Amino acid sequence: MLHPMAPFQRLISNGGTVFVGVDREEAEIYAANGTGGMASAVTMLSLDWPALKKYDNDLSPASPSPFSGDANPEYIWQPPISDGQTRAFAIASNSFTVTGLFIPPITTFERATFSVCLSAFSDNAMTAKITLYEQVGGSYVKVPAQPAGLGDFILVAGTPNTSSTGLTETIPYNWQDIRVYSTSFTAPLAVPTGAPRTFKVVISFMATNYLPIAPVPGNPAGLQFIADLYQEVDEVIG
Amino acid sequence: MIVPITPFDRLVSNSSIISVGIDRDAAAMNAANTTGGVTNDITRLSLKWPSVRKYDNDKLAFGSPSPFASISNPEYVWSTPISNGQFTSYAVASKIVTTSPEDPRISMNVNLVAFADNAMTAQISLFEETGSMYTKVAVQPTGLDNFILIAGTPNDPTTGLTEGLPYNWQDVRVYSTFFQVPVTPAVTRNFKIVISFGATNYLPSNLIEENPAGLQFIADIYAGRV
Repeated sequence: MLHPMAPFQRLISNGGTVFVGVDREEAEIYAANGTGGMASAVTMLSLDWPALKKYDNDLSPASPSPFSGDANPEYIWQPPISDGQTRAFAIASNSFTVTGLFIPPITTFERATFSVCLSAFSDNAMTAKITLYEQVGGSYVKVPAQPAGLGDFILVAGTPNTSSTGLTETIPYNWQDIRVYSTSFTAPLAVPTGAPRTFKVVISFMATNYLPIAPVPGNPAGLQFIADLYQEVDEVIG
Repeated sequence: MIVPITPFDRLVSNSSIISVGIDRDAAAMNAANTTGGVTNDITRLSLKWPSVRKYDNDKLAFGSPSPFASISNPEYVWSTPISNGQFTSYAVASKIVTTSPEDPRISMNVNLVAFADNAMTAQISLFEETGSMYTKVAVQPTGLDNFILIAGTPNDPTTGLTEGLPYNWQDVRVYSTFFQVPVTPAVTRNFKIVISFGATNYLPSNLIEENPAGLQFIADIYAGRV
C-alpha cells in the first residue's frame, strides 16, 4: 500500500549493532543474518580525532528530527589493534517487504524507494559499500543485480590497500576527513506473481590502520558512522 | 503523479552560494532572495581541523552512482576579517520547489553534516514566494518546527578560555529530518528550503597564538511525491 516518505531507520556504529568478518562479504552476510561476531566499542583513542555527533539539543521530544531519540555513534574496531591491519565491518537495516496485488487482468506492485545518507570517520583509510540483500529461503543473500543508485559501487577514502601511506603522510591526515555520501534507489518489485519479497539494506566497511611513523607513540584505529534511511512506497501497474 | 524518492539538491558551503547577514534571520532572507553580501572562501586555517568531504572516488569519472557525484567538495567559509569572540551568520537556499494542482503532495528529506570552529546554531526553514519576494512560512511544517539546532555554546565565546581537548570544533554535527510541503488545492505555490547558521569564534586561551574560524557543510535534499 502507498505511504508517503517517512523515516525508515538510523544506523550508527556501536558495539551492539555492527558485525565483523574476515572480509567485506562475510561481514555483510553476518550482519544481514544476525550471526557471527560483533565489533567492539572503543574509546576516543586519540584526543585529536574528529567525532560524528548530533547537535547538542537534538534530543527527544524537543527536536523535530525523527531520530532525535537515538544515541550518538561510538567508535568501533575489532581488537586487538595492530599496525597495518584491515578489518571488515557491516550493519544491516530492519527488513522491509514489498508485495503485489492481482486483480485480473491487472497486477499492482508496491515500489519501495529509499534515500540513504552516510557520514563516516575512519582512522586511517576505508572503503564503504551500500548493498541490498534479500531473504531467500531461510537466509539473506546479496541481490545479484544491485539497483541503480547502489550499483555494486565501492567508495574509497584514502589508500585502504596501501598501509605504508602512514609512513609518509603528514598533517592534515586522511583520518581528519569525515566522508559524506548519499544516494537513492528503488528495491526490486515483487514480480511476476506479487508474492512478497523481503529485503535489508546492508552497509559495509573495510577499515585499514596505516603503518605508523616510527616516532609516533601508539597507533590508534577506529571507525565511526551515522547512516539515515528514508523510505517511500508507491505503486506501479505490472 | 506519484514518483519514487528522487534527489532534489545538494547544498555545499562555498562563497558563490552562501549569503551573510547581521543575524541568522537576515542571512536566511538574503539567501532566499539572492540579496545582500556573500561570504568568503577561506583556506584550511588550522591543519588540525576536520574536513567534510566526499569519498575520493565519488565522481562521475569513477562511475559513482550517487546523484551528487558531479558536485565539488565544500569549502571552508567565514565572514572575514576574523576576530576573537565574533558572531557571524550565513545561509544558503535550495532551488525552487513548486507544488501544482496536479501534483499536490511533496515530502522533503534534508540531511545536514556541518563543521564549525568554534560553535554554531543551525536552522532549516521553509520560505515561500509571496508577491515578488520569498518570506519565511509563518507556520513551519512538522519536522522543521522552527527548531534551532545548537552545537557548543554559540552565545558564550568565553568557553574558549577554558576549553581543552577534545574541542567542540572537532565535532562534525549530523542531522536529518523530513517534512511535507504545504499545499492548497488548485493553487501553484513556490518554496525554497533555507539552511541558516550562526557561527561563533570563541575567545582564545592565552596560550594560543592564532584563533582561526570557519564553517563547512554539506546538505543533501531528497523529494518524494506520494
